[in-house]
Amino acid sequence: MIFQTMEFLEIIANITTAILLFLKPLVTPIGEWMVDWITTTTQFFKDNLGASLSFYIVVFIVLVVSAIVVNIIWPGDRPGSIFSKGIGKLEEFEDKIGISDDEDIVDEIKRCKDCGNPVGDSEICPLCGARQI
Amino acid sequence: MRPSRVFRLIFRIFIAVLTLSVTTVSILGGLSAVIILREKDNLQIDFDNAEFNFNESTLETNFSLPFQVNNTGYFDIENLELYLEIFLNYSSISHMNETVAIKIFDKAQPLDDIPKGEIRDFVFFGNNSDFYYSPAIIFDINWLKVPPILEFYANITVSLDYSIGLHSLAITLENYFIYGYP
Amino acid sequence: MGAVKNMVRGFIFTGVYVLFTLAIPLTLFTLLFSIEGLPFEWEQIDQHNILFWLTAFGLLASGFAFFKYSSPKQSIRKGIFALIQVIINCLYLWSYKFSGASEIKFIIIDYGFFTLDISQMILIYMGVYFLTIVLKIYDIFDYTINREKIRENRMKE
Repeated sequence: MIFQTMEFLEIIANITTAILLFLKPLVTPIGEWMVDWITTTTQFFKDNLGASLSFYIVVFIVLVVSAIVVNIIWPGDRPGSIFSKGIGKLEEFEDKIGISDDEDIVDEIKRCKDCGNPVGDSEICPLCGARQI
Repeated sequence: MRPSRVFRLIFRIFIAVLTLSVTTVSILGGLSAVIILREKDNLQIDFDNAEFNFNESTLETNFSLPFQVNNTGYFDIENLELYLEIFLNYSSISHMNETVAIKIFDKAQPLDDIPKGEIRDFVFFGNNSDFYYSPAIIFDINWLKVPPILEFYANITVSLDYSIGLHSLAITLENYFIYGYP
Repeated sequence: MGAVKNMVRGFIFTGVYVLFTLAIPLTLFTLLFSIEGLPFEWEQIDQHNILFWLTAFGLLASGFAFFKYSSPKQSIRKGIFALIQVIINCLYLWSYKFSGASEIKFIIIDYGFFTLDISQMILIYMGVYFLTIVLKIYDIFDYTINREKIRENRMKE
């Protein structure tokens, strides 16, 4: 059991070695650049904001309070004030079109009063020849 | 699923694979250190067969230090190096017979890499030309002191890279007594 | 209901962040520094320094975590605060795990010392963080370009 575990770990070691040997030359230079700016940034913090924790406590409180305010006003799951113009326009369009749930589109087609054949805008029925006044 | 979401998923998998690989190598590297250091036989400095020759009239000194390393870990040992400093302690006439320590030897010897699962034997040589004594020292030593008149101590540092170079280790033994005259 | 759900999620994740970035490390370090008689000891630890910066960056990370996790899913503000949070996490890890130094020295009493240099490992971890930052920037662009579609889907839910 121990030998199987060791063999398994060796296989894992070989696989991860292969992955890292391939990716290391790509990732290491990026890491060097990251270390540079992180060192500069932490040095800036140490030089200018390293006296007491008050600044950090204030930032924490401001972040929490502002998050509460912002996410209550704009929760994102319903139209807030920012969307009201868009919804108004949509309702306007619906009024113009005059779409009603009760209306049946079949009733809108013009039919011949004699034979009932659909005539559209024509004045004479193409089936029975009756004049549509 | 939007194409952008698919790209994001692939990128995240790539990041996860990289993070997992580094973490796995770190863990296995630590495990290897435990495996190697747990058995004393894996790092043997053969002090019994070590030779230290010293001539009190000419101060000619040379030594050989055999040692063996057994790499029972999961990764190759790379950039292996042995660094030795030797200090001479003696009773100094110019310092009112106080004991002083001076460095007389300082040498680093690079060694071959050791692939995982293999054993290597090395010998560290210190020739007379590697030692540096001030010519005046022979007159400063209080030869009438109660023995040992001269004591040689060493700082031994073994340094190596492990886990594909992610970890660089150095182990230093300080003030290790190697020889006393007479 | 969405706002309440977001707030609750924000508080939960902030609690987790406070636990893992502040409570546990501070407790561990305080305990470690108070233990005597260990067979080895740290040489270059500046106790006050480490605890101060752990707390400072931990507070920042927790604050930004609240803003991020209380924001709606795939929203632009969530993307922006997620990006800032990754950067703060980099600073936190730098001050915490690596104490600004990549060489760790252990004194082995009566024998000598043992030095572990992990600078190469740090470079790779930082490279991974860079990729994460790239991903977060990509998210911001994605959320901005597709914001109408994202909002539609969110309204439907």
